Amino acid sequence: MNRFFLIFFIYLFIVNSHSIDLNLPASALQNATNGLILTKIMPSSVIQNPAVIKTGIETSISYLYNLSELPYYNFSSGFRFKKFTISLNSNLLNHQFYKENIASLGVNYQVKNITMGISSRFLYNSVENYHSFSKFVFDAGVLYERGEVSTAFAMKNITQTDFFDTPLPIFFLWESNYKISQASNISIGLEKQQDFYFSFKMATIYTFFDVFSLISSYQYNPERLGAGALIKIKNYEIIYSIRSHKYLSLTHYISFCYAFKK
Amino acid sequence: MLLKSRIVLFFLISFQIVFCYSSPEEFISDDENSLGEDYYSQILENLKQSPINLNKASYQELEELFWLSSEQISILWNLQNKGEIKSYKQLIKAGFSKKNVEELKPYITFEIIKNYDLTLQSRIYSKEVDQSKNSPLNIYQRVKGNFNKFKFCFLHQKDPEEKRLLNFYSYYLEYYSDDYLQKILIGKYRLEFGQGLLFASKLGLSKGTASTSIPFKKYNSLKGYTSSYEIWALEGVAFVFKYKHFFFTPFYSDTKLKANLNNNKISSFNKSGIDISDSSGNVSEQIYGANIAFLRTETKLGITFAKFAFDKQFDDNKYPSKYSGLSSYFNTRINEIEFFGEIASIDEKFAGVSGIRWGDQRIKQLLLFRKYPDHLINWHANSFTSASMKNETGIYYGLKIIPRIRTKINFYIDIWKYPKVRYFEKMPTTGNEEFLQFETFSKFRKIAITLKHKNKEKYKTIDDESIIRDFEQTLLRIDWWSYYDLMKIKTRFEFANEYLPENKLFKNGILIYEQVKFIYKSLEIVGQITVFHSQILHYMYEYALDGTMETSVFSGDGVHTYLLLKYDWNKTFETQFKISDRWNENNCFKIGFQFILKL
Repeated sequence: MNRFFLIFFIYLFIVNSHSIDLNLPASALQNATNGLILTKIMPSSVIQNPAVIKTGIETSISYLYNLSELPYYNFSSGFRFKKFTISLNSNLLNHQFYKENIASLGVNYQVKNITMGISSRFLYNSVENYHSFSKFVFDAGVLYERGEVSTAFAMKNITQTDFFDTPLPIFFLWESNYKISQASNISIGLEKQQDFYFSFKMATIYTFFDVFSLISSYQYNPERLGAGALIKIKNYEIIYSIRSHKYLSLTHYISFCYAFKK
Repeated sequence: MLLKSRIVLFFLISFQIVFCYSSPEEFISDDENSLGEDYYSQILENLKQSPINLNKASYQELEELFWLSSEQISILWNLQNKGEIKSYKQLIKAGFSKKNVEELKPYITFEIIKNYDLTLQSRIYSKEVDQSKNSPLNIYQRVKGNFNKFKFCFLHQKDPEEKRLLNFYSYYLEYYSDDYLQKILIGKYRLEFGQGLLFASKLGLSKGTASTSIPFKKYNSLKGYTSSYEIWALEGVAFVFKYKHFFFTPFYSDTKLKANLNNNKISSFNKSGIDISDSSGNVSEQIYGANIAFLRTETKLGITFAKFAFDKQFDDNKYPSKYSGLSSYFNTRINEIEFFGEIASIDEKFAGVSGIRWGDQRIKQLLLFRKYPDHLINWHANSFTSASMKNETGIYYGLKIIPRIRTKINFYIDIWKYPKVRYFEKMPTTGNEEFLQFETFSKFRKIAITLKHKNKEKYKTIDDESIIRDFEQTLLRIDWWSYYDLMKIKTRFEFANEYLPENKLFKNGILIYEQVKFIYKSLEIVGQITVFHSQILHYMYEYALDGTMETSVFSGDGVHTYLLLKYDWNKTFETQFKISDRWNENNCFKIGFQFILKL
């Protein structure tokens, strides 16, 4: 029961901070994989798909496109509670005149090879001297795992909520992962935002000596490359990554993660 | 127990080799054709004519077999260190498959070097030239030999319409030994160091089918100049001294170049090699410098310094006539990760290339970054680039996957920016290129499906409106090979298009060909018929006389054919004959003959 109150308290704390919904990468790993999550599952994976989560705590920071006025902070956490996994997350884009924030609470449940998850996101948007607004949005996802293959599907904003008289984006995300060798995984995925073309993604991760991994990815439409390195020491993981943009500078990202023991 | 572990080791090595192997042919005629990439055919021709001696070659020389993986190079190196390699069977025993060895044969030898050898090569080519008063003949001759510890070469070439037989010539005399003084080279030569930011062969290619091999250079050499590329050879004297793992290469060059002058200032250089006016070199270039390198089997570190001086000023005052260059480079391998890079300061402008390659037998990846400032001087350089090694920053990612034994996927994406104004484009632009090839083969057939897409921002005028527009080029190609005892048949279907999305302007074209290659003992016959119907350009590599590169360019409607015959009379005398013709608005009939005499 104490754990339940702790989770509830963290959720309330996050909700009271500022928040956003631009589907930006929520961690250095997602920055390196262009948003694909099955190559390596982390606490922040749940932001892309509520069915995919690893228990632990992860915090990340980036200056988007290397612009010091666009800091982007993330916090993700996942807790096992009997047969459920509960996640709490917060993202903050903190510009001097423009702030966006997402705080989310998710839950998923595993039945044999299938995991189903749902999450609620509290969106907050504030433009200096113009408006501030907030809304709840719901996401749902499913994950299927069998042997060396896993597949996940998610829909974001299933209730088709609008936000300040503007429809919020509805995302469909599909991803499949294949463990190509003992040391490497490859994922391919599609992302479809309503009223936009499909975006194709591919990511790989390769692990050396169980402690060091290299991550690389490609996204088509728009064309982007992501790359990163992960160092794992016991239950701690540090990830640094970069991601290209057609016109702007590279986005550098760094994450720290502590994984709970199973 | 020992036997068991040896068996396991043998299988592991064999397994790895099966997975890692790429054949040299994949770099040329079979896969690269319409992409206009014929650089590797030149390298392979050079290798064919000076095969790598597996018993004598240094680790760096073994790396010239560039299609082999690092693991395979290590196997050859270990074999050499264990004792003399006497037969191909030893390679098979060490883990190379029979097919691997068959494909390696033209490029390797393990014979004890003879006290002398001499090769004479003479070629004459005639091309249909309209309204020309000059000779349409292309004439090429080369004498190359080895005597005791000396190597020598002389070659000359006259292109069609040029008047003088010695319009282009190259020569060198080389002394080599295993002592402290490893090499003295007098005459025309070339230098290649690091990733090629200061010195590299100008024919180098940045991207190709082997997505994780081609961008990663391992240059560190001084070689006599045998290429028929008529510009940027160095001419003078160079030495290589060796002390343990350290190599010191001082060099001096004073050569003449053919340039177009404007008010006695250099406006451009004649890179094509075709010199109708038949002038001798009108600009002098002087270079001196040195390289110090530390070379071990899988680690290279080096520094190169050079001073350059032209005897004339440049029309564009952003290019100095006198400047200096300093570069440092490295590459090293730690288990399954290889790191490489080079940084250079040329006329006080900094440029850099760095990368990392990693993976195992199933998956190999390469990531490369480069940054070149505007007006970077690169007359002798050729490192990884999307265009001209100037005003460019970019990231390249290559991926090779072998999901099953007989299936291979190669993929790359290159994303770049030109941060400064380039050519006519009047504002910074960007571009990207993606390549995907799926290949599957069996003993009797092979199929390759290739998709290449390029999107570049270009300044174009349409309906009196001049703006930067996206310009997309897409190529889809399907190749099918059928193998028989004496014959190989290849069929190609190629569809290409160009598209301006904003204006919805669409051009396309198709090209289909059938190629038959027949080999019986010393006789080799290749015949091909190509049909094309296109609004845009298609490029296709052709089988050609040894030592030549032929990339045909097709546009419009037409048919193109050629027939190539090679006959090796008695291992010392080989004759080759080629005839080709094209039926469309640009008829082009060519006929060529070559003999090679080896003593």
